[in-house]
Amino acid sequence: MMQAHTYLTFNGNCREAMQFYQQCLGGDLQVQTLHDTELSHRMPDTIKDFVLQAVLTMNSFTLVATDMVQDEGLVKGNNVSLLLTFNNKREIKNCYQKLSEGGEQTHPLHHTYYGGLAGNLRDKYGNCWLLTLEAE
Amino acid sequence: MASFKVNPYLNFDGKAEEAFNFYKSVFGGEFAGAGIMRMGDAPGCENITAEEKNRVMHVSLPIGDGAVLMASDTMPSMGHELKVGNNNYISLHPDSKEEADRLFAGLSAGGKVEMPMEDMFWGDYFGSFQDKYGVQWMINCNTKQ
Repeated sequence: MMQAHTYLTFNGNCREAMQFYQQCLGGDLQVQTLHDTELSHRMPDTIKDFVLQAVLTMNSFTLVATDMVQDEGLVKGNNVSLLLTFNNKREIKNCYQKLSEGGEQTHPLHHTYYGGLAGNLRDKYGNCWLLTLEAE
Repeated sequence: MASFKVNPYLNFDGKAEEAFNFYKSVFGGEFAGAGIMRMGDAPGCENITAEEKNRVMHVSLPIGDGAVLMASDTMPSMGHELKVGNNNYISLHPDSKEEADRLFAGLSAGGKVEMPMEDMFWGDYFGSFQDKYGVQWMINCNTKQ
């Protein structure tokens, strides 16, 4: 069966961002920098700490990220969000507060007409999240 | 430790229905639940324009192993502005090279190929592209399994 993961791009602060997500979401974080690769001796020192790949895993959740930016530069969009679906009111409120710290609460948690809670936020690294609570 | 499910959620400027019919033609399957829910179906949306009533409030397409692709359209009358970025890829992990090739060919049609499918030094069969709706995808097939 096919899996689908989210793969985020940063430009030098990938490790910091993934550590922040780990604090918010939990899980196990593995980080590989350019310094860890065979070609690192041919790279300037300024980019050796850049992250080639960082993987945050917990249960069925995998979030992958990198500092390797495309040729045209990094463009932070709002057309793709990460949707987190909770089944516990305390957990969704706690997670919303943590993830939105230093970011923007674009649509704070509110009661939906279909009987749950939902909210949007843009975190301090520019990534968009949607949090929803299925009716308990 | 919090427990939650995670899925990519896409946003379009009026093209969600067209895009999801395109994704359904590639992945197969059916839209979950009642199918496409429209803005006009939501309470409080009686006075929006006919064009906005027809926009997608929510659609979801299961694509395998608990992964569900979901989307909605923006609502320009509420000040929503779509900005297509390159900071977020959806990384698919099919079971076989044949399935990887099929997904790559289907989803990248009319889009912009970044890396054609190739055997990579780290052992995966890999490719990436931006589809014709601006969504970025990676196809990753672990051929050592």
